[in-house]
Amino acid sequence: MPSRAPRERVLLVDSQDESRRAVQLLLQGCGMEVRAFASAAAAMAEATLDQIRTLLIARDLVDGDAIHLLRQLAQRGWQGRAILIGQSHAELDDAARAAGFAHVVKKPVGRIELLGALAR
Amino acid sequence: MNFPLPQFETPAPVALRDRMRQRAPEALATLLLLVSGLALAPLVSRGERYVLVGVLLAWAAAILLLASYSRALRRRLRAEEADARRRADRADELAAELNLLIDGAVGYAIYTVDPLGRVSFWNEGARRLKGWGEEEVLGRDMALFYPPSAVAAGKPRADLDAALRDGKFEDEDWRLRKDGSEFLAQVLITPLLGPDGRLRGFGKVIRDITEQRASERQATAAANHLRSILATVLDAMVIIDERGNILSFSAAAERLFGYAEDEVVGANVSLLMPAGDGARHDGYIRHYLDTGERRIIGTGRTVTARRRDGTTFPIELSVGEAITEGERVFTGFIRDLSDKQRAEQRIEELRSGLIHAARVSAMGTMASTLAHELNQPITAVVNYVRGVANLVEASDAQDLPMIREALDDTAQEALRAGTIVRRLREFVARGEVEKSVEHIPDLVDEACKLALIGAREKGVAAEFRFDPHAGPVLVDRIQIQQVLINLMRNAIEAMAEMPERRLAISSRVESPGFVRVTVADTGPGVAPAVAEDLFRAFHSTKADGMGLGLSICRTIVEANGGRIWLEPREGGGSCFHFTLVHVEEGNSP
Ligand SMILES: Nc1ncnc2c1ncn2[C@@H]1O[C@H](COP(=O)(O)OP(=O)(O)OP(=O)(O)O)[C@@H](O)[C@H]1O
Ligand SMILES: [Mg+2]
Repeated sequence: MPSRAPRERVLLVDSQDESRRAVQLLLQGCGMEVRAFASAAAAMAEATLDQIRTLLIARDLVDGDAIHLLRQLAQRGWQGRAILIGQSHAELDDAARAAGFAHVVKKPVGRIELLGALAR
Repeated sequence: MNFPLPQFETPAPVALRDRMRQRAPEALATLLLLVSGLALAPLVSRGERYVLVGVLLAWAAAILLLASYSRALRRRLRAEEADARRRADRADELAAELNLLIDGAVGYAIYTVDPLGRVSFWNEGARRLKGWGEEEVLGRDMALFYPPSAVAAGKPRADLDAALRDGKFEDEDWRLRKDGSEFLAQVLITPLLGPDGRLRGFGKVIRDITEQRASERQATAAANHLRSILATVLDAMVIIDERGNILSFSAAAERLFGYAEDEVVGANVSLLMPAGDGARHDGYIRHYLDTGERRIIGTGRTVTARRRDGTTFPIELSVGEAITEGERVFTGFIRDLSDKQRAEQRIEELRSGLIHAARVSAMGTMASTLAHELNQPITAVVNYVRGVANLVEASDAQDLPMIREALDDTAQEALRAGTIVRRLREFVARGEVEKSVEHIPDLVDEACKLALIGAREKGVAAEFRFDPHAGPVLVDRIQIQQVLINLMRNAIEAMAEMPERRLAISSRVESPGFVRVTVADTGPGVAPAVAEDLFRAFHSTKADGMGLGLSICRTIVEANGGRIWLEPREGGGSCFHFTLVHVEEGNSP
């Protein structure tokens, strides 16, 4: 197996199976390591938070929403960039920005759009 | 998996001394028998002696036989014991090896479940892959490893049933780790049947293939997918790298430029531009890479492109940027404007035709109304004037009062004609007046959409300067836009032959309560002597002009409470000004 440099680790939280799995495959296909969770609670239990620089969180989760989760993660000391996964670009509203979301990608998340958001 | 069967060694030959020692007891017994026989011999008769010897010999033979039989028996027992021990050792060894193999299978989770699906064996690989330790999962239902949606759909049981039915079950599906994260798993489930054919459980082999599938998809997306996108995009698309070299060239681009993709891939994109532009292009990219300042990226603009045969044509170019894994590429979407320009010309023809028709019909209505309404007073005036002329010719002083009366009536009729015209004008102007509070930039913006069609191609540059204090106005939106359109079209038409073609639209605060809007051009201007005539109907210097534009402008502006006038522009050209009623925001009636 070829040796690899440590890869960028992404935390992905989305309660919609289809959408989350598609994004996970996209991200891993781009060489990233993905920690994918279906609920905010599972994401909160993530043990390697300190190694994660990028968050991708869907606006609505089965047990909460992206803004609340991001606040909680920030309280745990997480720092980095957060990208919102939404139904429309309008979901990156003042509340979302205030919570720390910098970009939004629209479902279904396209490869180019996702790369664009990650490249910024 | 095939394991070599254990080999059993043949026993080593036993040494002679060992054999002697082994046989000592039987030899001793035979000797004792013979000695006791010899001791008994003198005591018996001669005939009995033969019997004794026979019995003794028989005994000895029996002893020897029994001894060798028991020895053989013991030897076999010992051999069997050793054999069993060896077998047991070997089995332990094998189990350990198998465990090592199973645990060492990196990336494979291997475990078994009982017929009800409860975990009965759990290897190290399963711990590594899924996160649970053996003690945590033994006896638990395997549904634990399935995502909630799959559990709800009854997938765990269905998988086992399928394995039982078909002899094995292979699948690619999502599974959960202990920490709740998901991975894409390749799953193999095999039923484990006992020698009696009874189901003893299921063996499961699981592998994490998220990575593999992801990179396969990536490869597909990067190559074939892109190719198919390129083949289907309607607009031509060209992708270049940081040095301006063409990386890919869509099917539409092939048609548009006349090059095949193979011919241009690797070549500099300047190939597709007229000579001078090509040289500048490298500079643009370098400038962007150095400074990050965008000139064209993210926006579209009209530029000239060159076909393979050297002919040039106008295109609309929009450039985007994408970074994939550290590599920066620029995508250019190209729309052929030669077609679009033709289409716009056609629209323009239709549009001016339409305006013409509208005006003709408005004028037709107005003319017939005028003719009808004015016929009476004018006929009356004509009759009076004729009558007066006859009376004047007779020059009879008695007729003077009659002449005065006739002239009064003439004036009356003339005034009436004037009233009719004013009323008509009011009707035309006010008939549709619907005032609302509007912002000048919005009004201008919308008007430009119509007025500036084809302007860019005619080389007209439009500039806008809006005074932020020239707040909202109370107007009939459609009518004021008509004014702006008329003024802008006049300006564009006036500049057709000029070397410099600049159209400027601006706003500013006029006297209190009014806002002034100005449409200025760099055309030939208007001689002061005829300036006032322009606003009269039917005054035109154009071959196909109707001379109605400015007169309609005046009617509308005045009906909206403003005025319109013309001034020469400093440095050549004309400025058409008009005023509108300013309102405070929120003061709409
Ligand atoms: N910006 C201008 N610069 C120079 N001359 C102008 C300008 N605007 C109008 N004129 C002159 O005023 C005349 C009257 O203009 P008006 O718009 O009323 O009629 P038109 O443009 O000739 O015809 P129509 O508007 O019916 O197509 C024009 O024929 C032209 O000679
Ligand atoms: Mg005109």
